[in-house]
Amino acid sequence: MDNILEITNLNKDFTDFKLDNINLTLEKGSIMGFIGENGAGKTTTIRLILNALEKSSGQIKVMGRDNVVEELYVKSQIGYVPDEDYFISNSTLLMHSKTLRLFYDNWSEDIFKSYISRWKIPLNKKISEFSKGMKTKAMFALAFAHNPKVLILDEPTAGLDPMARIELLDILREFVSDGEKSVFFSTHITSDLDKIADYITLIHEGRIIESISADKLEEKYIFLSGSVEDLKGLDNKFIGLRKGEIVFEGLILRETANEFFKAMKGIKPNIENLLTYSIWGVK
Amino acid sequence: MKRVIKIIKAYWFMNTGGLKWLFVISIIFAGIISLFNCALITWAVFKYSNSGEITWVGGFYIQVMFLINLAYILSFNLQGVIMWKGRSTGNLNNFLIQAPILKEDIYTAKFSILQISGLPVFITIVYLVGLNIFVRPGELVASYTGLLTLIYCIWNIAVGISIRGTSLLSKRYKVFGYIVIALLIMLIIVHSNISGVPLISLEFNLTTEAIWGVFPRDQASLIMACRYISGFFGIILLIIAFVTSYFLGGRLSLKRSSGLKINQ
Amino acid sequence: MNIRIDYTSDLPMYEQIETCIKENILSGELKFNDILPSVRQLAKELNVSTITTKRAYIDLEHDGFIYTVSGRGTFVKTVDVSKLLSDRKNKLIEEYKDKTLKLMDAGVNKEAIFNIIQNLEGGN
Repeated sequence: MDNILEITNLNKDFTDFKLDNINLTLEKGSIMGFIGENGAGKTTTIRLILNALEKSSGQIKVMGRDNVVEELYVKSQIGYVPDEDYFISNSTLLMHSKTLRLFYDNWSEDIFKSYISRWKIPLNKKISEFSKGMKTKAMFALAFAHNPKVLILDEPTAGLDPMARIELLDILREFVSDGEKSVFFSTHITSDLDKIADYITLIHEGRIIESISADKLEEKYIFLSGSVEDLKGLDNKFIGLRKGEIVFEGLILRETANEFFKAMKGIKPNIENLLTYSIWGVK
Repeated sequence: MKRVIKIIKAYWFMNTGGLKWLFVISIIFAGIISLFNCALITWAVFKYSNSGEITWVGGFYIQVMFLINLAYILSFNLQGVIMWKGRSTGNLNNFLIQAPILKEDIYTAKFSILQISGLPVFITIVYLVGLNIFVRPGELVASYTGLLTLIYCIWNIAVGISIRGTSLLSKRYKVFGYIVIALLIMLIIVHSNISGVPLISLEFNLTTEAIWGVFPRDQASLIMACRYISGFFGIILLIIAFVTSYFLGGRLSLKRSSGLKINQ
Repeated sequence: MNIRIDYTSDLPMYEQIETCIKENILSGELKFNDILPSVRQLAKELNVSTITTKRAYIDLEHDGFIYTVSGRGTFVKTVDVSKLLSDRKNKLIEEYKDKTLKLMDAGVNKEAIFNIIQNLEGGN
């Protein structure tokens, strides 16, 4: 079993939205960035993994076990940090940890305390007095405390200041360093992913448009820019194009670029390019 | 079962404020009233068999009101929303969504807590049934027992539906959450039709004819009919109500609504 | 070891890393049996994903520049430096050809170009 997370032909029907045939695999020891616009289906996919939502069809396996049939085992292996905090604002972090601790066999109070003291999070203060960054860190502390095999993060860096973001990325790197644990990182702050994501999966309007490793992304695509005349009208060769009166820029397969735009200057694409230009291309 | 107990503990930890203590005190109080009522009825039964005098124990109403009151206290809390000074401070479901528990466990936990709130009345009923079977069968006690059993069973099924209603996020079903309140209002209306019987009275001496004369004609026959569901039939009805409540409340088909999150 | 990444280059990151390591070997900064940083260590320092550094090492190993000992690390292999040098020479020659064509397009003739070369030599 080399895949920590395996999603096969996942479908979920809503009245005005459909998650359509989602397939993705997350190897152990790796970090996957899950990107897409708001409303593309990222949070829905995560809810389905947690079985907070009932799927219409398909299969989700965590550590090789089905997430519905073996829901208890699966959830005990997942550390979850959502985009909106789950705290009871009038309670304290201590009470939250006491409560959560009840449910996990693999809880480590030492690990919890180490993160609390590292980030100087008060245990006995009301959560309503926490800043957003502190709430996020508290959720991380609770997630790490039960030794999960996979971290599922939904916009975890949104509330963090730049120093905290860098620190978190280091922590995530360390988390996967033993090669046995993985991180599933849903976000639209793609700059964080450039530094850390081994794999990128792009979802748009409920469908997976691209799922690729970081090196293949740079190998397969190139980001070209130049004057509009240089385009020579070959707009459709691009995956996604932003064209003005004078200049353009666009994402294109290197293969295609070498064939049609050999002389043009380009740079290696980053994840933001992939996200924005792929989506523009689909539209 | 272990997980259910953990969830109940979680409710206890996460509920800030005095509401949980109010609940505990109310249960204890209801328990005391229940024992008091049992003692009173026992006394009334022996008094009847010795002297032929009939006493109607109005403490019955207090018990029922406690029943409904407690359920009402809990009904919002068990949605998972933790209130403080009238405002929502968060939803326990959001917090527990990550924990290795099943939705069935959460449901069973809510159901258990509601059954605990009904325990005082249940104890009274069991005592009365026993009294009726083994000690002194009699019309009045039987009717009293039967009426209490009937109300308890209806309450039980109503709370079951309430849990179902409050756990489904679809607005259509939310209304069922208020069934318990509707029951209270119903009871007040029923009682307001019974003229002459004070709401809170410990004793009320009447003759056999007069007691039935106090109730309006159709209610009298209902209460008379309740005789038949004291005793063994009562026990069977209790079991049916309990099981129906559990399954009707959602155990059978726990529909996963579009997200556990309740935006307040 | 000296690694300089050009973030505005069109070359993929892993390729740049490979080139840098090869240059290091060429210049002698990396010698035979020198240990290279681990895939994770390098990724962390360069702020890239480990799959990028892994890819660089895989390609370098495939081309015979490095070798891995399980549990010990990754090391520099003896390489035919002359081949590396001639590769680099060829690459520079290609660039030079490109530039020369551009010069000619701009109207600089053959003699002018020869003069430039002579001046350069003389200047040295």
